[in-house]
Amino acid sequence: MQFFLQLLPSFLDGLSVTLIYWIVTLIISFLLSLPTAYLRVFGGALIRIILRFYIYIMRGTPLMLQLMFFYFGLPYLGITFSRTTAALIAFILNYTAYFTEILRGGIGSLDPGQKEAAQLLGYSRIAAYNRILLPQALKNCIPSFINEILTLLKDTCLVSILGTDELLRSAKIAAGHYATGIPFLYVGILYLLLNIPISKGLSWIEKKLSYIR
Amino acid sequence: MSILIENCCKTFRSVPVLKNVSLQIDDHEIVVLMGPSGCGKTTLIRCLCDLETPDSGRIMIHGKTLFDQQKTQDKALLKQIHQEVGLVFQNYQLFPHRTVLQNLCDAVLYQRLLSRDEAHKKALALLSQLQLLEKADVYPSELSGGQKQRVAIARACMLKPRILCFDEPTSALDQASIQQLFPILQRLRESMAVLIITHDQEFGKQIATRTILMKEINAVS
Ligand SMILES: Nc1ncnc2c1ncn2[C@@H]1O[C@H](COP(=O)(O)OP(=O)(O)OP(=O)(O)O)[C@@H](O)[C@H]1O
Ligand SMILES: [Mg+2]
Repeated sequence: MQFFLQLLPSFLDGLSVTLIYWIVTLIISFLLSLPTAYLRVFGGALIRIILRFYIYIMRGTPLMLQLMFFYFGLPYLGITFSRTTAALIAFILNYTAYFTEILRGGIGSLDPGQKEAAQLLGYSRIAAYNRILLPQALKNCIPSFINEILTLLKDTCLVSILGTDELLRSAKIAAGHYATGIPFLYVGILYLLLNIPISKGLSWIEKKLSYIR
Repeated sequence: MSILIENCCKTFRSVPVLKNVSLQIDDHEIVVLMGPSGCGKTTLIRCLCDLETPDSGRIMIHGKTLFDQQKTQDKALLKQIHQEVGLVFQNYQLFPHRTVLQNLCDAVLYQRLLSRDEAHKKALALLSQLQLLEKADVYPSELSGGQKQRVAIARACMLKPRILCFDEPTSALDQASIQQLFPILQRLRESMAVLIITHDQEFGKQIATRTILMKEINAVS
């Protein structure tokens, strides 16, 4: 316990970095996925092909490779980002792709009659998406979102390859310093503790929305 | 003259479904459309509601052209037509994330046809006519099939349609709910035309002011 308290300040530093990447990526990717999912379903042929290609790239290559591309690769093309910016761009682009696909599936699984009913009631296509289809799709997608959100929490440790001191790297440094594996155990427990409010909170919301069926 | 369908043709993947269908429906009529499964009844109603586009022919709604060899390009006109043609889906298609009252009011509020107070007043009046007043703040998942159907009718009526179409309204109802439907349809008829698809001979015979066999329409060329 005393050892844990001794390590706590550096853990908290790492944890704050992890949480910042996690929250910023989550919020921006989620907001971006709302219009991209609309375009993925209702956009013109060209836009749909472009989005499909983008999603194919993002899902088909390792996230670590994408991080390396934005930090180590782009400077060769004369574009340089800071570590934080490069990592955030990679995370956001990657997770927007996943969220878009989740929402697309959620919209696709709705009864097509819902869109037709909205059309007959005079809704434009965008209004039908915003007011009728999206709210139902979001509710149905909560389990998939929980999945992705927890995966993202674990994926944030990939920024350590760019030399960023996030939670896992703070454990690695402590482990090297004290020549013991115990810090890894502590950090593992911290990750697990973070999982609980996230999945419990979202499951609670899902339950609250169970009247939508 | 209110609703005019003239020589409508519709083909799905080179299979003709509607072949020169013509049909005229006047105000205050209750037209019952019958015919064998797959003869195109639903397709015809969907063309009338602009959910499907015919290949050729003409569809006029109260003098406004929805389709004349091609769909009208006039967005404003199309909007008016959508308002004048209502449809009660076979499975009602209420919006599950909105309460009954919201299901009724959302569209008129979105289209800015009524103020919030006016919309609520009108919706509550409709709900009380349909014996649904105590369900105003309930979500659709808590309603019975018959209640859902009446909400769908009320929702369509909020837009003051000139014709209301029903696709197999009795297929999911028990006898008691079917009996409840008669006075409602009679009342609708006072202010609009009603077009009903049904396989239920008994129901069709009792409610119709005019019955049409889809085979017959197909023959009219
Ligand atoms: N979107 C579609 N794509 C391809 N074929 C279709 C489509 N909609 C309908 N059809 C075909 O058109 C024919 C007529 O269908 P429709 O639903 O209009 O029949 P119906 O008279 O309503 O039958 P039922 O009494 O069984 O409801 C059917 O053979 C059906 O398979
Ligand atoms: Mg049918």
